[in-house]
Order: sequence, then structure tokens, then C-alpha cells
Amino acid sequence: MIKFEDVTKIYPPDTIGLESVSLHIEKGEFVFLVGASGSGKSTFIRLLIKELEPDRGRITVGGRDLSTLRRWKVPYLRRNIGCVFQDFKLLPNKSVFDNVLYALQVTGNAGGASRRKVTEILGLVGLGHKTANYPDELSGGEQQRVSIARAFVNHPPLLIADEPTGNLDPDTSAGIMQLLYRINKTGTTVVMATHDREMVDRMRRRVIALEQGQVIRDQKRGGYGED
Amino acid sequence: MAKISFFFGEAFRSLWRNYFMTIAAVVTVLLTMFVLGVVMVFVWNINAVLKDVEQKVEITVFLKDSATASDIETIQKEILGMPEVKDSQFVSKEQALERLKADLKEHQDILKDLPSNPLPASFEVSLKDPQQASLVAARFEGRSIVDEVRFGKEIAERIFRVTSVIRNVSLVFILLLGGVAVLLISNTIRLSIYARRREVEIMKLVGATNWFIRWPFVIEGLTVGLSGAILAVVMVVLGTNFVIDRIRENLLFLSVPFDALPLWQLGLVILGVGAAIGAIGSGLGLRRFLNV
Ligand SMILES: Nc1ncnc2c1ncn2[C@@H]1O[C@H](COP(=O)(O)OP(=O)(O)OP(=O)(O)O)[C@@H](O)[C@H]1O
Ligand SMILES: [Mg+2]
Repeated sequence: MIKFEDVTKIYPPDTIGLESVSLHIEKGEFVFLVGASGSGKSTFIRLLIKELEPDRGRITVGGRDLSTLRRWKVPYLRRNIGCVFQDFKLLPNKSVFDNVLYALQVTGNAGGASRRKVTEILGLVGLGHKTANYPDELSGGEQQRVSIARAFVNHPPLLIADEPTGNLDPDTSAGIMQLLYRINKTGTTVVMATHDREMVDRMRRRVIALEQGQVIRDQKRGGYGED
Repeated sequence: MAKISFFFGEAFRSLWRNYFMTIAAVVTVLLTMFVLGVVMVFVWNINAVLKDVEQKVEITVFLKDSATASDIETIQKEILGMPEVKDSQFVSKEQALERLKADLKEHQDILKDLPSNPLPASFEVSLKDPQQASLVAARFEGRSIVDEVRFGKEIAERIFRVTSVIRNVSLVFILLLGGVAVLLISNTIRLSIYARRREVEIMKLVGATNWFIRWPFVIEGLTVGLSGAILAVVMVVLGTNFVIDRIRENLLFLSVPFDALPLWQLGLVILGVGAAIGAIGSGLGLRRFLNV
């Protein structure tokens, strides 16, 4: 599903984002990306959706080499990657319902079937009663759930979450983890960047640890820290 | 079809939600287009006056008294056959005298004692393009029945020099003003897009294509440009009619052809320019924020 081959990203002039990262993530895996602040987790994710270009190396997503992917095709790549951002990135002028619907509208689907899908997924993330609200009327956890609903409403083969539980209380975090777990069960590959030590230790999934842009550990069933 | 209604829905929702920006943009278009419209009305009128002045350049071909009726008929046909000639009027010796009497009014006594009519017969030739006066005039020089050809060469050339300067200056002025209008409007648009650049970024990250994002913005720009321009046209038309009425009342002697002013054409130009600047300005203004 995802292949990094000796990928390096330097932010001008000389800040290391990622350095010589090579890794392989299989279809259907659940992967935690851990590491201190500034270790390169967000850089990894932004490279995956071609928001950034690597300075060296090759990235392949779903069999497509991103370096040869034409600019105008990038939107089609992104429709196949559900993305949950640390800062939610919801459209402020749209209701909860319309925010989620937008992910379907960009693919040219806006009919009754799409509306039913949106209602269904908002029910699934527990926001069936707030569909008409605007993002600034929601709590952080609720906004994060809207953002997950938007990322998953297309049923993309790959879901990426950048610290989705970053600033949420433990109960809400657990709820969101449950959601991602269930999404992974449907066969979707999930990559999640996180600082949440407890969560990672409890889940016992694959852990990729970054430090100053380099992979320092890649364990099949790891914990947040060294065992 | 569903997509088109989606784009219009997005555009109007956003115009409504950002109503302050919308009003600011409409007012900008209104003011710039109004100024442009007023200047165009002025230039059009100046042009009409200039044309009027230019039309006064006529060629007069004076005939010798020896010219026979058949000579006159031949030359009449020849003149009317020239492609440059708009109209030609034969003035007989008697008519020339009548005119002189009319011009002299109460002083016409001085003509009483004339032994015979001293005035020559003539052709008054008006041209389609008065600039060709000297070319046409040259054709009559040296004919046996032609006494003299007159067209006020010096004056004509001076008039043409002045009118062409005035025309060029007003054209440059309109172009400059048009440029300022484009700059002002596109700047307003850029400001409103800048305020929403994060939205554009999010849309891109969710997988929207550039045109999917652009269409609502283009429709917004078109709507703003068109509404501002419509208001400007209404103001220009009302304002022009008001001013013309005042002039008619107070300056009756002015022979400016106001009525020929094609206000609806001017309106179309303003509408077209307003709509185009709005739509294209939005489309281009977005470019910078689409490279995510
Ligand atoms: N746009 C940028 N321009 C310059 N340097 C940047 C930029 N974005 C990130 N960096 C730098 O690249 C390094 C990796 O940043 P990155 O955002 O990938 O870290 P992270 O692991 O996501 O951190 P956090 O856990 O705080 O989100 C950091 O040193 C950061 O300062
Ligand atoms: Mg980060």
C-alpha cells in the first residue's frame, strides 16, 4: 500500500524533515507513527498526500509512484486517502453535514445516495444530532469526529490521521481510537501519528518510531517506548 | 446539471455569508465603472462635436460664366460618380445672389444698383471622409469651365490636426482609466480570496480539483461584476439624461447631437467589462492559492 525508498525531505535552508526513510506498509495494516515533537511525523504524512515533494527518494502509494504523478491527478490521489488532520481542517462556512458531503461532492456525487451515506457516517461517529451545526459550534472532540467522518465517507483504501487524539480527554480519545479500529476492520489501511503513549501500549500494533527524521525502530507489535 | 446548481449554490451562499466583502466589491465595481462610463459619455460627445466640425470642410467648385447647361450636367454626373463624394449641391448664379441677399438682410440695398449678377455658379461638394478634401479638390483644378476650387486647405488641415490630438488623448485616457478599474477591482477580489485562502487549501486537501474550487469563485466574481456594472449603467444613464435636459434648457443654441448617443451600447460595454473583470479576476486571483 505504501512504500518509502530512501526518502529525504529538507525544509529550506537546512531543517531535516525526514532523512533516508525506507519502509513498507501492507494493505490492511494498522500503523502507529510515534516520536517526539519535530521528529518528522507530519512531514511523513504530508509527503504521502503530495502536499510536499521529497528532495530524494521515491514514494509509492497504492502502486502509484508519486514523483511521476501529474499535478492535475493529485486530487484523485487524495480522494483515495482519507486524511484526518491535527487541526481538523473543517470548512468554517459549511455545516457539519455539508462538510462531510463536500468529500463526496468533489468526486461528482451529490445525489440522494450520498446524503444517506453522510447521515449514516455521522450517526456512526455519534454526531447524528449535530448535523446542522457549524464547526465553531462544536467541541474539539466533536470537530475531530466530523473530520474522521469526512475522511472515511468515501471508504478510501487508506486512512491517515495526524494526532487525531492530540488535545482530547482520555475518554474521547478512546472513542476515536475505537472508531479508527473499526474502520481498520473494514480492510482500510490506517496510519496514525500520535503522542498517546497509553493508547499505543494498549493496542499492540505495528509501531514506527521516528527521531530527527530517521526511523529508529519498526516493530510488528510494539509499544510507545522501547520494550 | 447537478454540478452547475451546486456551483451556483456555493457561490451565492458565500456571497451571502461574506456580505461585507460582497458589498465592498460591488461598490468598487460600481464606482470605477461609473467613472469610466461618464468619461466615455464625455468622449463620445466630444467626438460628435469634432465630427460636426470636420463635416464643415466642404469643397466649393466655382464655375466660369461661360459654362453651358450641358457642361454643368456633365460635371454634376462626374462629381456624383466619385466614390469619396457624399453629396453635391449645384448653386446657380441666381441662387448665389439670393443667398447673399438673405445674408445681408437689411443692408441688401447695396446690391440694387448692380448692372448684372457678379456671383459665379458653383458646386458645393461634401465628402464622406473630409480628410480627402485636397485629393478630390485637385481633380477640378485647371478644367476649362472651372474658375476656382476652394476648400479652406489651411483651416481644414489645422482642424484635422487638432481633432486627431483630442481623439488620441481621450483614447489614452479611457485606456488608462480602464487599467485603473481592472487593478482596483482585481485587488478587491484578491483581498476577498486571500481572506478565504485556508478554505481553498482545505478543499484541495480533501481532493477537489482546481476547477471544482474555481467555478464558484468565478460565478461570485461574475455576479459582483455584473451587479456593480448594472448599478453603474443605471447611474450613468440617469445622470446623462439629467445633464442633457439641463443643457437643452439653458443652452438651446448648442448644436451638439446628443440624441445620437448610443446609451444602450455604452451600457453593454460597461456590463461586459464589469462581468469580465469580475469573472476573470476571480479565476486568476485564485491561481496563487491552488498550488497546494
Ligand atoms: N513548513 C516548514 N518549514 C520549515 N521547517 C519545517 C516545516 N514544517 C516542519 N518543519 C520542521 O521539520 C521538522 C519535522 O517537523 P514535523 O512537523 O514533521 O514534526 P512532527 O513529528 O509532526 O512534530 P509534532 O509532533 O510536534 O507535530 C521540525 O524540525 C520542524 O521544525
Ligand atoms: Mg505534527
